[in-house]
Amino acid sequence: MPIDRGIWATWYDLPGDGRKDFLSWLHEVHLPEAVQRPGYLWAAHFEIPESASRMNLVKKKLTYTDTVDIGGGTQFLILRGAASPNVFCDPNPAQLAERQSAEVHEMLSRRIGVRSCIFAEEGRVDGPEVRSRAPGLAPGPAIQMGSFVANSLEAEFDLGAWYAQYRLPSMGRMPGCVGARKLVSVAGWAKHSILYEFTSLDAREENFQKHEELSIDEKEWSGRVIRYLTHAPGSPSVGQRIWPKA
Amino acid sequence: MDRGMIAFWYDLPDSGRDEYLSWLHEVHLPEVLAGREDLLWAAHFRNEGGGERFHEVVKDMMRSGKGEVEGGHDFLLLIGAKSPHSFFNPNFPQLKERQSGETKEMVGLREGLNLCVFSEEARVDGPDAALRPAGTAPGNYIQMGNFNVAKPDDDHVLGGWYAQVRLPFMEKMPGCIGARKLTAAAGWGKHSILYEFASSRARDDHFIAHEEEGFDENSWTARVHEFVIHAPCSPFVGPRLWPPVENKGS
Repeated sequence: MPIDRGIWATWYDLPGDGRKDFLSWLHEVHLPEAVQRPGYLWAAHFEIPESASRMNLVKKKLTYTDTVDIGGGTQFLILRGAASPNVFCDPNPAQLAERQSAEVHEMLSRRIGVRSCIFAEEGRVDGPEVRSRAPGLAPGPAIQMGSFVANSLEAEFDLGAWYAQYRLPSMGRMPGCVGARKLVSVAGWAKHSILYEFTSLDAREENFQKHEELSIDEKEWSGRVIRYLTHAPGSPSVGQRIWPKA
Repeated sequence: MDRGMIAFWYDLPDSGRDEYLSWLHEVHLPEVLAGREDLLWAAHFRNEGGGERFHEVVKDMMRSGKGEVEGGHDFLLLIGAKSPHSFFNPNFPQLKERQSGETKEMVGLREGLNLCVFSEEARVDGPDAALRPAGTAPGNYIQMGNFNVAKPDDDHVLGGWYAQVRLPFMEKMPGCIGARKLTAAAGWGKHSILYEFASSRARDDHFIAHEEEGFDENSWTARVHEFVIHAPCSPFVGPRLWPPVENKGS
């Protein structure tokens, strides 16, 4: 039974100026303090570079939301884990913000396009490399995380079946895969999320990218799925863990 | 244990209702449970409306737009599983393709069907939790809400309210078996809440007053009431028809 069924995700950008200072503060001060809050099990910070050319071919087929007030950040992703998503509701992000010191407030205000979601785990599989992540510890060294909505009830049932019958079983066998978690949003845009964990970006590229490229063909089940989804800005985020150091 | 749930809200025509209920309770649900080890329980409920005092609380809340979601609300069928993925493998359309002629005919009587697959977000046990052994059908009398919020930021306010106000109240409320906050993996209403009571009386005596805190416009409850948008079936309030209720409740 997984012990970290709640995840709080925050996507954001940083200006070029002061980036190094911010990252030092986040990794040496803020995140180590955050994981001391009651109920928090882990935190992890990922840098999301521009997509590689092969993934860009897939992303060109995706539909992105035109909702303007959800925060458009794509460069960095902070994930925190807890036994239950309710841990992130007591206190909730607004209450945490009210209690921030001036220093924390000033540093966090540097972030641009902040978008935040609290997720409950719907289902997970362990990959062949699950032993590289002890239970309850931060996600693997490399991740891909998508967040999106489906455009109809029929689409949601098809999406659920695609994950339960096809995608998650594939991840359970994929070399280099640490695990995969299908999430549903308790708070924030969008309703669905998927978190894939890999031993490295190279392992992802070698073993997973070809699965993603199936979606370019609209006759494939994956191709049908991507055509009824609307993604959050930048989704899926493909990146490397920069804290704790991979 | 039972973190996955599928919910079917629907109406029935007068003609054929008794036959349908006999078939559902005596044939279909026992067969469904016997045929799948991953399905842990099933329960069927009838909507009684919640009473006049409750109606005053909910009457001005926002409702889904016309045609956005089907309008069935008289009956509620819940099935529980270890994981919501039990309801995606096979999923509902795949199950429909495999139905026998009799099942198709009886299920075809349902009108205004609205369905959701839920993943459990959080739960608390109430003082009467012993009335519902772990992993078995929900309690004798339930209230179930199904709703969206007006904008994404409202989700965080709602989450705070459940975690800090409502669920801690349910944990202590006399006559409460438990409460589960659910999130939809499929279905119109992203949020759902299932309250389980020992009896209708327990709900009337101890829960309605807590709902009425929403009349105080300065309360957190009032703030929540202002941004929730309910499905036609919501809130559903009523007794369990199947499995039959044993009279152990307070």
